[in-house]
Formats: sequence, structure tokens, C-alpha cells
Amino acid sequence: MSHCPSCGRYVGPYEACPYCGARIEGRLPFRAMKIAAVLLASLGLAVLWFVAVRSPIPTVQAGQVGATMNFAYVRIEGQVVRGPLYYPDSGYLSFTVADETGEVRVAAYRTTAETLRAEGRIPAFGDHVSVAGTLRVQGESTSLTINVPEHVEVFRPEAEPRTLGSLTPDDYLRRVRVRGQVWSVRQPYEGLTLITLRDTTGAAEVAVPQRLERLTGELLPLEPGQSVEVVGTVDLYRDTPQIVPASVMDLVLLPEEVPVAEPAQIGMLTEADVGRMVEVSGTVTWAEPFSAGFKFGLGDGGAEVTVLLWQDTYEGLPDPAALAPGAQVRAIGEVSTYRGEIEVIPARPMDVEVLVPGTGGTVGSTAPEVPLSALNLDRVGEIVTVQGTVVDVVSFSSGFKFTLDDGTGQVVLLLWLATYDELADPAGLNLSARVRATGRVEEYEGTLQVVPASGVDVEVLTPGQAEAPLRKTGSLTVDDVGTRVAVEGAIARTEPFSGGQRVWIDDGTGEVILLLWDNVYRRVPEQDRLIPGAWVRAMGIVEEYRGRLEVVPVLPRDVKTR
Amino acid sequence: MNTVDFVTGLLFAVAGALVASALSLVPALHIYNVAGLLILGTAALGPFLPPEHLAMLFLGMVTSYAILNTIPSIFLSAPDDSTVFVVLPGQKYLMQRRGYEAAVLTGAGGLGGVAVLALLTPIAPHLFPALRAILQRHIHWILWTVIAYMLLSEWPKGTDRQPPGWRRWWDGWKSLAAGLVTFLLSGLLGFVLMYRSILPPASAYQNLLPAFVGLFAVPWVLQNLLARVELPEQFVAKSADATPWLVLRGTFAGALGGLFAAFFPVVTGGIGGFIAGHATAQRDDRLFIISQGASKVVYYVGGFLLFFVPGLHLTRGGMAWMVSTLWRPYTPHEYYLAVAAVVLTGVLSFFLLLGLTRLAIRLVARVHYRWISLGTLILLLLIVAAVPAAGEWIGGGTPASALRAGLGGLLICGVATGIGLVPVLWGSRRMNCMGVLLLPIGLNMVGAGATVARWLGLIP
Repeated sequence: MSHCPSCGRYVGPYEACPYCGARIEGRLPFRAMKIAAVLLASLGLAVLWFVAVRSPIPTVQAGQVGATMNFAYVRIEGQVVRGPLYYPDSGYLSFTVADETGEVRVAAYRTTAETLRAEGRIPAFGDHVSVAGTLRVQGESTSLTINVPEHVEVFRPEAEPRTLGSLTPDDYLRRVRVRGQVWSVRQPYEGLTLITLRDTTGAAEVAVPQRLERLTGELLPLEPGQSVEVVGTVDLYRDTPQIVPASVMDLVLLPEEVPVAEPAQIGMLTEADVGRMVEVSGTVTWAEPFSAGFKFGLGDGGAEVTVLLWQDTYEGLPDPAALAPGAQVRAIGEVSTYRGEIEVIPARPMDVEVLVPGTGGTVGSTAPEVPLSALNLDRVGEIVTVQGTVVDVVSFSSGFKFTLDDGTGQVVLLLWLATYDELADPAGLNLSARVRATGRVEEYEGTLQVVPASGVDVEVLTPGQAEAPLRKTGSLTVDDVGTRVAVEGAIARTEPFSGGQRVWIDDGTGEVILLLWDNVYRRVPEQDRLIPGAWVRAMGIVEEYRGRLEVVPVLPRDVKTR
Repeated sequence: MNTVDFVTGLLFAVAGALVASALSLVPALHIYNVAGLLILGTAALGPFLPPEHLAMLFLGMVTSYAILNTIPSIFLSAPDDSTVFVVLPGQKYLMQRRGYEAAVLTGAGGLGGVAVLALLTPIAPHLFPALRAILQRHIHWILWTVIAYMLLSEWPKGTDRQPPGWRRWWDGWKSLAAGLVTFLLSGLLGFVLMYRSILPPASAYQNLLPAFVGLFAVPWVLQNLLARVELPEQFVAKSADATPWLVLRGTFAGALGGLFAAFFPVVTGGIGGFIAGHATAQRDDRLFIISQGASKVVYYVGGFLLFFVPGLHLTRGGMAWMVSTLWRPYTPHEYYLAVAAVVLTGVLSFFLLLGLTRLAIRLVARVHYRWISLGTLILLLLIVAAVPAAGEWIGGGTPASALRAGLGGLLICGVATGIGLVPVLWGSRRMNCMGVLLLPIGLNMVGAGATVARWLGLIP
């Protein structure tokens, strides 16, 4: 080579260029280097690809994950212990997978999440999964992002048939199949529906979170009394088992009824049965309201048990009046004890079925009519019929007391709210009314009272009418406290309080408060017209509370609107 | 946060800056690799520092590195005579005996970048969360726009000496073709590494380390080894050929590119600086050098600072990703401490730059850079093999599996080196090697990543 391959000048026989110093022999051609680079890149990449596609995705345990595994593409195997959560708007999906060593939150975004949803491959709570994705370690929190929908494998175990009462916290994450009757459906907060199911062995709740509905569709509307079969995984809420279905489709209505209680002989009920649901049948031997509801005796071949209905249950009965002595009744309720006596307490109106209605009244005309002077403590517990004129009326939270006078003596006629609501003529039962009533003689704080079991036991012979002088609203003073007055005027404003409603009325001379206790307010005719601007006339006792004068009507019919 | 905590945090940042100042002189040794080794040490031996102090140490390290890595890039990456007019202006300065001045100009840009970050402090907690909220749904197409611009803005570089026809066409277009091939091959490499990496999971946090070393560092070192240039004696100037206005313009352009790169995922400082350079139409070498200094600092340090911004805590850049595995900031005080640490270590690093540049000048005068490059190559290969091997070992692997992991790292590095050499030898942009991140992540963002991986047989 006579010329330098580096600078191109003549070098003759030199082994190194005398001008630039470049060696003449043994040089590496650029072309060779270029080709070598391309070959190294493409062949090397092919080799790397060959090795990579034959390498399994490494499986790691949740507890092994540490800071140096950030961004590792790994597989996690375990059971879904939380979720799935899915937000269609953002396309975000997440659930938590646990194995014996710890937990990892798994997430998928947009198209991956949508593909999983479309292919029905989103795991449910309790499912066993094998998920591969990119690990993300952030301080104490570890997450795995699914990049490829195919890298999610879901294994759903076969459900085990179980009774509701047999579920315990040890069943956590076990997949079960249960049948039961819908006892109640409630939403403790927006986003969660809790369905209480019962069978003869006990009860359990089925939890249907809104996120499940977002994923699998809308929950079919369920009504108490319907029988369903549910397949789901047992979760725990404060150590109480709850069933979480994988899909709303896992709640199936059954054509046949699932019983919630075993039929029981009344005479066989003992304290050992307390807490158990039973079905009892028999004849009503007595019936009477009490301050918080209604109770009756149910007899079955000589044995008797008290069936207690709380007020809301009683008010929900289609025909409460049918629950009278002589009625044939079937009731389902929980066994309880009160002062050593066994009681059956139905929780829902539908659990009390009147097969044959009672004759009505306490004992009707068979009770002897006695003069009031003949009533004394010896007669407590007897059923009597009394007659007299109403000389005083008192309202209290659970009912009304009417003092009857027949010229020989006086007695309090006590009407619980349920009884009052059954009166045929509540408007006529007021001061000066003449009344005949049949009821049980009771004693309360030294005072005798007659307590009818039903509204039909009270007959208004001559309607009464409370009377009081009509006063200007602005004219009432402290001197009027304790007197009965009538006022009328326009409603200026209203305000509820814990025990009822305050209504300010003004006839142009000044405002006065009309205080309506709840038992009165709820029974005022056309109560919905007690609104600002409406005209109202009321009669009541003047009282003073914290320096303010109030007119307190005693009976609902003492308040009239127009 | 009390005064003791504040001062302790600053001291850790200063310690980090001093450690990084020594390491930054090693050519091609990235500070992220060093931080990765510290994370590996934490995993193996347990936390030797409370994580909040480790974060401040890393902050000092990255600030110092962002300013001081100028030295090896100017003094230890000398071009040969055939490329002297097309390489970076910093290296042109070197050949004109003005390497010290180039380092100072870059440092001035870096100081400007620090000042920009400090000035952004009051508005950052309001500005960046709002920006993220606006841009979050648009990042995928913005990223593809960047990719398209990057590929389409390269132009044919023929010599016009070939006869008309195919040979002339190929002469002009071969560098363009090389750029596209580089982007494609590095993208395929990225797919393999992201979907089916052959490295053990315990070293996954440095999964891309062998690839980055192979794509960028090893070709650089090989280029140095092949180069036959003798460096001229350097002159240590007493002043720099720049006006305050020029420094301001350079800082502005650099900060713009750095912020873009720091805020957007996958976009690196090089790409950010490239786009900002085009956007501000830089023509002046001095302006370019200053803007590169500012861009580097804003990208590296600003990206990490976004992790501290109250209400944002954005994880951008390798340092933030590594720290986020151990710790997260929660209070505004931590942000203010971080800014204070950046300002303190930034200024400290500038003065270290002046001294260490003089040291580098003496070093390259006595030791041929080819020997330094050879040492660097050995060090890089050791790191590439050691990180996966140590990860496997810590993860409970056997010596044989650790050895396999080390060899796997070297294999990846070798393949990446082949790809990284293509732009070096065919005269296209090295930036195309960023396809290793841009292609798989860009496709993932538009939901096509899994489909492509399936085509490539990476998804069983």
C-alpha cells in the first residue's frame, strides 16, 4: 500500500504514516465494523428472544416481594381476599390476592380491564387466581399491574351445600351454596345491599356491593318472604360470616318456599329454645295492647304462650282487629323470655297469619257491667264493662286516659294508641261524652284503670265536645297557665322537635306556640295541612316552657285545619 | 420538622454530593447504577440509613451528578479527526484547548437550572398537580408525537460524491435507515426485557441497566478505544466567552427541555433538550452548551423533585422510582428541605466542577484516555454482571443460578451494545436507542403493547 489509508498521502514502504502516524497494516475496515454491529444487534436480539420465550415467568410469593423486585414481571398465585373493584369511567380494576405469606394488590387499566370484563375473566372474591404482571413496590405497599389479559387465570372452587346456621368464622373464604328465605333487604349505606336470609337453622347475610352490580349487572329486586338459593364465598364482617356472591346471577329465586322455622308444640317450648325460630299455631285466648305494641295468648291443647308484637309489626298486620280471642293464628317468631315467661316474638307482619278471625272485642257482651263504685283492687285482672261520662282527658306518649264518672265513682279508661286508632268514632270521644267500655281492670300507681283490648270494646253512646273560650293569640299571659283555651289563627311557621311538632299561630295579635306531642300530631285530621299559611283552630291547656307560653291540645280532634 | 432534622437532611444531601462528585468522574458510570447498588445493599443487609435520609443522600448524589458528569463527557469522549466538526460543541471546544471553558459554561447552565427549580418552589404545588390533571389523559398521543418528531426530524446526510441513482440515494438515506433500524431493534429489545426478562425478579429494579449500559455507555467507550486522536494541551481560562444574556437564554431553553423531560414519562433529558433546542432555534455553540447544562440539571434533579412536590408526588426518573420503593414524602416541609438541599448541593457541585475539571485536565495529560476507557469498560461489565447475580443471590438463588443471572446481564448488554453501535458507526442519532423505552411503553399506553408482545411470541 503506497498511500496512507487514513490521510491519503504517499507513504511509500513505511509501516506507519510519517504525516499522521496511522498504521498502514492490520487496520480494521469500517465496513466490517458496521456489518458486525448490525449482525451483533440482530442475531443477538434473536438469541435473547429465543432464550426469553423459553424462560418461564417466575412465580413469587407475596412475602418475598421487596424493593429490588420493583418492575419485575412475575406471577403471583393465591386467593382473592378483597374486591374486585371496577370503575367503568376510568377503566380501573383492582383486587387483592393473598397467599400464606402476604397480600398483593392487583390492578388493570383501560383496555386490559375492559378485555377481562368482556371475557368474564375478572376473578371474584374467594376465587383462586394465578396472575402475571409487573410488580410495583412503593414503601409498604405492593401492587402488580396486569399488562396482558391472558396472564390472568381464575379457578373457582365447587360450592359446598351448607345450611345458614352452620356458617362460622372458620368458613372464611370457603365457597358455599345456601338456600333461605329473604328475611330483610337493607342498604346500610349507599353502595351496599345486605340481604338477610333465614332457614330453619339460622340466618346469614348476603352482601351485594355496588361494585359487584357494576361488574355483573343489576341485582334482581328481592322481597321479604321470597325463597332464594345463593352461591358465594364466605367473608367476615366483624367476625360474623357473610356470603359474597361472585355475580348477581348467583342469587336465584326458588319456586318452592324455604321454611324459616320448624313447627313447634306450644307446650314443649322451654327456656332451652330461647333464640330459636319456631312456628306455633293455636287459638287466641286473650289479646291486649301494651305501651310498645300488642300481645296475645296463643293456646294449643291446654298449653299457652304469649305472642308479642312490637308496635310496627302490629301496625303492619293486614287486619289487626282479627287478632281477637277465638282467632286461629299461626305465628313464626323467635323464642324469648320475659320475667320467666316464654314468649314468641314475630319480627315481621307476614309472620302472623290469622287463619280464622276472632269474634272481636275482649269478651264482648259477656262481661258484667258494673257501677264504678264497685271497682276495687280485688277486681284487678277481671274483665268488666263500665259506663260513664268523660270528665277529664289526659294525653301521654303511648295513649290517652279518659276519666269516667257514673255518679257513683270514677275510673280511668286507658286507651293505648293502637286501641284509640281502632275507635269507630274518635271524634265523639271527648269531654262530656257518654261512653260504655269493656276491658281488663288494672292498677297503675294506686289508680284503677279499665283497659280495653280493642277499639270495638269502646262505644260512644253520646258524643262529647270539649269547650273552651276562644282567646286572641296575643292575649295569653302567664296567668292563663293551666286553663283550657281555644285559639285560632294562621300558621306562621312550624318546627319539629324530638317529641312532636311546634306550630306557631298568629291571629294578628301576636304569636303563640301550639305544641303537638307526637301521639296527637300524627293523628290530627288532615295533618299534612299543618303548614305555614294554613288556618288552624285548636283547643288545649296553656303551659309555660322556658318562659314561653304554649297551648297543648290533649286529643287529635282538638286541632282543626281549614 | 425541627431544625435538627432539617440540618441532618442537608448534611446527608451534602454527603451524597461529595460521594457523587468522585463517582461522576468515572466515564459512563451512571449515578443510578450506584444508587441501585445502595438499594441492593439495603435489601441484602437491611436498612443502613433511615429511608428519609437515604432519599436526601440520593438527592445530593443526583444533583452533583447532573452538574459534574460534564467532565467525563467533555474530557473522556474525544472525537477523532473525521468527526470533529459534527460532534457536540463541547468536544469541539476540547479540541480547541477550551475544555475547561466548556465545562464552566455547562456548569453555569446547571446553576441556572438550579435557580429555575428554586424559583418554581412557590408555584410548583399548584402548577404541577393542575398540569398533571390536564395532561394525564393525553400523554399517550403526546408521547407518540415526540417519537414521530424524533424520527422524522432526521435528515439525509449524503456526501453528494456518489454517482446518481441507487448508490447516491443509499449514501444519503443510509443514516436515516440506520436510525429507524436502531429505534426498531432497541424497541424489540425493550419488549423482550419488559415482557420476558431473563434476569431474576430480585434484580428487576435494575432490569434495564444492562440494556442502557449496552446501548449508550459501551459504544461510547468502544468509540474512545478506537479513536486515534491526541488531545491538545488544555488552557485554563480566567473568563468565559459568554454574556449574562446568553446565560439567561441558554438557561431558559435548557430549563424548558429539562422540565418537559422531567414531567413526561419515558421522555429523557436528551430528548427534552433536543426538542427544546429545536423549539428555541439554537444556533450558537455557547448557547447550546449552557442549555445542555441547564437541561441536564432540570431533568435529573427536577424529575426527582417532582416526587417531593406536595399534592403531586410524581415518580419520574430512576432515582425517584428507586426511592419510592422504600419511602414516600408526605409533608410540604420535606419538599422545602429537598429544594434547600438542591440549592446547597448545586452550588457546592459548581465549585467542585471547577476544581475537578482542573484535575481531569491533569489526568488526561498524564494517562491516555484509552486506558481510562479500558478501565471503564471493565468496570461497566462488572456492574452489568454483578447486579443481576447479586439480586439472584439475595433472592435465595444458588451460586450456579447467580452465575447464570450474571451471564444473562452480559448477554443483554452485548445485544444492546450491537444496537448502540449502529448509530455510532452509521452516523445516525444515538437518541434512537431510546426506542428501548419509547416503543414498548408508547404501545402500552395506546393499549397495543400486549398485542405486539403476542405477535413476538412473548406472551404464552
